[in-house]
Amino acid sequence: MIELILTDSTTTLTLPILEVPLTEIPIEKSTDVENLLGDVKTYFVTQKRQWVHTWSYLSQSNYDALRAFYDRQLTLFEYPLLTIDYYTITNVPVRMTINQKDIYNNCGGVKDVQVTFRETAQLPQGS
Amino acid sequence: MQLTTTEFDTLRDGNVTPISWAYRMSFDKAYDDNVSFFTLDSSVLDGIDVLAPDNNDPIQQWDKYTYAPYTDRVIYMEWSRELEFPFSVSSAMADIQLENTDNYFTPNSGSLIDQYILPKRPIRLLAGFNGLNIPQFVGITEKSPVIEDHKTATFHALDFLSELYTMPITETISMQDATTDEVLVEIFTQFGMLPSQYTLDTGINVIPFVFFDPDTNAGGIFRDLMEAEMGNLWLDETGQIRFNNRYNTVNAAVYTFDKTNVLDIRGNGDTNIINAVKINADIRELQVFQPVYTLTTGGTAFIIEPNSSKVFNISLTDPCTTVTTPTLGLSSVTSWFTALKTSDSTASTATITGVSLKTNSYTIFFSNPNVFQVTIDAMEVWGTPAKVIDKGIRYKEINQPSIDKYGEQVLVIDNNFIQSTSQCDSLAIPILQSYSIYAGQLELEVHVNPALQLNDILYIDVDDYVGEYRLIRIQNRLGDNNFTQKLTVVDTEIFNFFQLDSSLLDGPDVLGI
Repeated sequence: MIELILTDSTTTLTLPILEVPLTEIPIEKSTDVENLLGDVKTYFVTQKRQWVHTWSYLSQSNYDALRAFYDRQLTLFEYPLLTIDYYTITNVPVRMTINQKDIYNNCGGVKDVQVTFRETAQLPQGS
Repeated sequence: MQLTTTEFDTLRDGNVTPISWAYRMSFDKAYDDNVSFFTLDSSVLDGIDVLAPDNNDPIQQWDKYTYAPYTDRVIYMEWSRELEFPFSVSSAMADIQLENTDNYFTPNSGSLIDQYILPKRPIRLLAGFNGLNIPQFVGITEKSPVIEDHKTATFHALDFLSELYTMPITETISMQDATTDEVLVEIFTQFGMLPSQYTLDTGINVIPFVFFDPDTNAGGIFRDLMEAEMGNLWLDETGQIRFNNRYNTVNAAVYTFDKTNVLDIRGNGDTNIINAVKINADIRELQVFQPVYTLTTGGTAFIIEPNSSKVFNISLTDPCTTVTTPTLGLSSVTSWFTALKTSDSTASTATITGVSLKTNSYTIFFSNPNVFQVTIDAMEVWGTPAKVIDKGIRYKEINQPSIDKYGEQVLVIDNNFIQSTSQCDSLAIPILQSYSIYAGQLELEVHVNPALQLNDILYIDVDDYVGEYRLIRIQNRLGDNNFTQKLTVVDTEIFNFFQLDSSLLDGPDVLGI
């Protein structure tokens, strides 16, 4: 079973089984420069990852719990930590974004919930 | 050029170059007591060892501050340094923008460093490849940070030498036959620095008389010294103060730029031709022992109260190298004073408990041991003054072929650190040698080499630009996933000036003195 676990200083949430596709996008922080001969050189800073996942349907409680992680990063001033053991992603600080909320039933269920997790570093507190 | 490792050079020259940097600040300006002295061959570059030992003067303590890392917050860093033409008292500057979404650098925000968000915070900036960072800048912030929309904090910083420029010297400087470096050492010593903090060429210019009173601005002294020397004074990337004399001989290029590591190259139109040198200076000459001050009865006479002391300040017309302490009783060969009982003008006594000579001022500490008032009614102070002896030097040297070709381009030097015609020759001839021919300046954007330093000789081989060039400006920027470096270089002919006991007669060295 492939689980997605989010953690912040408030709580830990294990979300329902991941659906496919789970998209991983490599982010290359670099610049190519061209010399007078037309050859390229790359100044490379780092490589990061971004994961995009869509749950077709989430219950209201699961959605609210997920949404709370998104909101807390802007009130606690710290990013949540993402863990997906299956892909050896363990407590990676991520900048989290979430798409529009589409409620599809009277129980508050939400459909097509897309979250984006952009790998980043947690700035050291007190530095 | 800073020394680097083979690994560093390999990363620099590779197809894919992993750039890295480090940025540190000391907001509380606390000292690290664990820092020890830097020992060549045993200390680690960028480690905590410093190049200077401890003492109580904070201005030279840049190595000893406890710096906290802010590397992860850096959005961009820009730093630059340059040499001015034809002499330079230069300073480097840096701009650093940091991430501030948590208001960490915002004043009055309740930040942990709130009370320390102030001007003049020490910073260190390093850059390199794959964690092999080398020093780039050591300085202090000029003002509090500029906060933009609570998202970023931008600091502007100047190097530590700039701070020295604004400071007054604290004690009189009085020297004879001093070279430029000797005067610099005297000033640096006043600021609490030790020889390990500076690397100085031996000055070519010898100054017969050096006189500076306390509160004289050090920056003005540095500028006059460098002008008379045609030298360069700057703080390098590691925090070392450096002085190059006018000869500053370099034998070979330290690095090559060609089409493989140049992104852009262009001439900037500056040529900086000098084909005429005018030097104006007042000449002082040390005189024989003679009266330098006279206190006359009824004029400047003064009273000392019973069992009291009095400080008497004398303003001397000319600076003196020596002054003899006055003794009681008239004399025709040395300093003297006379004292009278004020009430009846009968001869009396007073003692001098101390004197202080500060070039143009002489202070005497009198004491009256009597139970009645005493008047110091006459006094003559003898010393050896350095007087302006004639109308001074009005010197001109030209290079006629250059004038014929480019028109007269005059450099005027008004500087009393030049005291003889031979000194003028020594100064003017190398200037004309170096600057009377066309020497184009180039601006290059290159594959970054953080080890480059001002005054490095570079060999450039790009189309019509072939030969040795001197590096006179370095501009670096690290940000937006990129590391850029722009250089300004000036065409340079490498020659050694003739030096006694080391150059061969009829050899290739140029006779400069």
